[in-house]
Amino acid sequence: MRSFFIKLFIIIASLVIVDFFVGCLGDWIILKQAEKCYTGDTAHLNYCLNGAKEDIIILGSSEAACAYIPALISERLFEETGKEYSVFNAGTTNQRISYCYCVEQGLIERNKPKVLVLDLVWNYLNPINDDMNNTMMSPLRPYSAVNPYVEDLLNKNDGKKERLISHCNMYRFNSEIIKYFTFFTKDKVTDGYICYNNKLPLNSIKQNEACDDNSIVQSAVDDFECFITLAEENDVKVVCTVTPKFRIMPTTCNSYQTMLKICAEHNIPVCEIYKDSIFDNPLLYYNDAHLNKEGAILSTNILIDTLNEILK
Amino acid sequence: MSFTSFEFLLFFPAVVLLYNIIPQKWRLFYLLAASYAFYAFLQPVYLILLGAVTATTYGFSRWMENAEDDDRKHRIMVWGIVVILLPLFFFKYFNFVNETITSLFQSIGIGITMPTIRWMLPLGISYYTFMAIGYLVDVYNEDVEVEHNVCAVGLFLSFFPIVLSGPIERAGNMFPQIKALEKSKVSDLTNGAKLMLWGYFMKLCVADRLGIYIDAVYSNVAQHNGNSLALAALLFPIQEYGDLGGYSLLAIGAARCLGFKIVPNFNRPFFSTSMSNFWRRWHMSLIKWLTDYIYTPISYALRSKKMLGVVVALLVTFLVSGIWHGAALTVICWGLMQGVLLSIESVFQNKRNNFEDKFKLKKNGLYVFVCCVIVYLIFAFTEIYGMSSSFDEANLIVKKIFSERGPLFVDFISFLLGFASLFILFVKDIKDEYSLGSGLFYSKHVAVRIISVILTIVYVLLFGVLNGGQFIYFQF
Repeated sequence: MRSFFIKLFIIIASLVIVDFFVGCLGDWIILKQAEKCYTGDTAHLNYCLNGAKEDIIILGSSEAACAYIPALISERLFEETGKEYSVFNAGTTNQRISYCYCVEQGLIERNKPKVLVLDLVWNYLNPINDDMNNTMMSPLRPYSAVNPYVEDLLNKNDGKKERLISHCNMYRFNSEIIKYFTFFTKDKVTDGYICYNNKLPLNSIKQNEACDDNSIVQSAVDDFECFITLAEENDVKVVCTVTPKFRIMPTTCNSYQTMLKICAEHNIPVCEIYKDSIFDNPLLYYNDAHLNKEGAILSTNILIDTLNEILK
Repeated sequence: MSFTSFEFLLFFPAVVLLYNIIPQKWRLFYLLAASYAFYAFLQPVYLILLGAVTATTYGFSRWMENAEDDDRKHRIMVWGIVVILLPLFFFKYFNFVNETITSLFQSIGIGITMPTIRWMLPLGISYYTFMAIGYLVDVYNEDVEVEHNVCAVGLFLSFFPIVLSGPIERAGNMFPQIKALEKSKVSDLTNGAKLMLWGYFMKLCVADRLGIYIDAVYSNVAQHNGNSLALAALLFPIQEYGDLGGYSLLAIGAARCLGFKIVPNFNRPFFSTSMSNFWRRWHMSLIKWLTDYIYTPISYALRSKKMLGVVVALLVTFLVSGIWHGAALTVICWGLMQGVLLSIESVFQNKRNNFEDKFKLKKNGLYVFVCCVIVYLIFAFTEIYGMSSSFDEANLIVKKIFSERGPLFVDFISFLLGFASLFILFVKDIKDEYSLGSGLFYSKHVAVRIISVILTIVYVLLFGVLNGGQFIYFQF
């Protein structure tokens, strides 16, 4: 029995040491590569959280990532205003308003952007289940030790159990650390825009998107308010957009109406691009939730018109 | 709670520790309470059902013991089986039967809609029902003695390592161990822990990792081309092996830590050179159950019909296997496919043996390899029907595989980590299959054992899918 406990002790002690080194290695890679933006979801996330310093930043989820083309915005703004604006699309798959607020805090700390474009999805304020929360938080966990805003976000959204397990570095970096090695492949630099070329079939029909739960989460409302207030305090202009989907969105639902109300209270312009009938064309979509390149060019041009007004 | 949940990592060591501290006379009640607590964590309301099946099994076994003649004993056994099967039928097959009848009525123009229920399937019901039936039949055949302690019967049917997904245990193996309930030996603890560790590896690093790719493809069949579907179809049997094989190792390992020796469930099935060999290595506890209680009685009753009797017995056995696996026509068809394949193999078995003997092929590496590949491909093909929700979906997959080419859908991280884990799994299986040494976990050198355990834990924690889904076989 004594030898059993000695072996058990050796195994546990070794695991603690390995865990410590995994944490050091992961944090080092994140910080080392924070300033660079290479392709891949993880590199994009890393840049959004720790590196982005552009003048105009687009925030939101995957809908935003494939709807607004930074290069086109820079080019047209230069043509129309004569000024050069750097633009980055920080739209990140599966993320919501609390993530946008988290990124915003880092952005303002590093280098105040001139404009923040916040792309709204109608259900941003609706409650989410634990699985969805886990899907949202998992990619962020590796950043908890190097980014205080991510740490706050995780503390707010994770349950006690999750927070307890997250002390284990191997759990924190689970499945993610392997992705960091893609940082070292000097691939082409991207501006965050995800380009889709496929089109929905011409005979596609818009389906209804149901709003099963009309309740809203107060913490999400608070994050949305904080997002706007922080921008106002730092003299950063905010534009909200609503990207089109090939779905009939329940925009009368509580979540969407609350966001519109908050925007109105703070005089934030809301660019409801989805209302434009041109987006009834299925050929502008990659799938029913995301625009393809042709759709993105159209939506970007509409956004630029609004940006022109703001930057005057 | 599931074996892969954080709660289980706290629950299990506490159960083992306390089990070894308390006096022997309390261990039966303690393990029964722990098993019920384990089950209650997932579906507390269905504890009533588990208790009812236990009471029914116990009651009928005692009634059989007191029966005066064989005829009466037989009648009691049959009634016992019928009563035990009622909840299984109600929860698992009621909707399927009624929906099938409704659609049959509608197809002939009768607008009658049969009622359906919207209740969740009780976890493990297929497993503990089969174990209860097996016990009653064994009592009838006088293969085991009637157990007089209702708690022992309760623990047999609800023992937490096996209650959710097997292996399907037999009374003859379990009751002597339940009666003994000795303290765990150090070798039990270490071997059990190693089995559990490998089970976690198979589940989290192989099954769940490959499952990300397979789910992505199968959840959107219409959008994926034939190449991606073919790859998903080829990977699916490995995912199942990792999932149920991993679960079985976790169950066997957890039971071993408590001093129990549970029957094995998988024996490197992808090294099978024939379908019959495959089914002696895949989900062995279920196949053994089906062989003993269905195949053997039927083939014995039809022994005068020679090969026809064997074929009928095989078809019925695998039809039952299909029905057991799921209440869907595709799954029943999958079961029948296995029966047909095994029947064909039985019919030509002598010719195949003669052919192999004539050309001395049984030890020819290339021939064995080709046979293994063929068996794997056949099984992977039948699994398309086994996992599809409808014939339309299965036929669409098959049609696309054979007709629609295109770029392969690639998920780089899933591929990299999935195939790396798969490689490790197959290296270990090859070593075990051909007895190439004792293995790293069981090396003579203590340092090798410790380092291999540490590396496996690190690998599972770093590269396993820790927020993955449930075990596939929970749905059965």
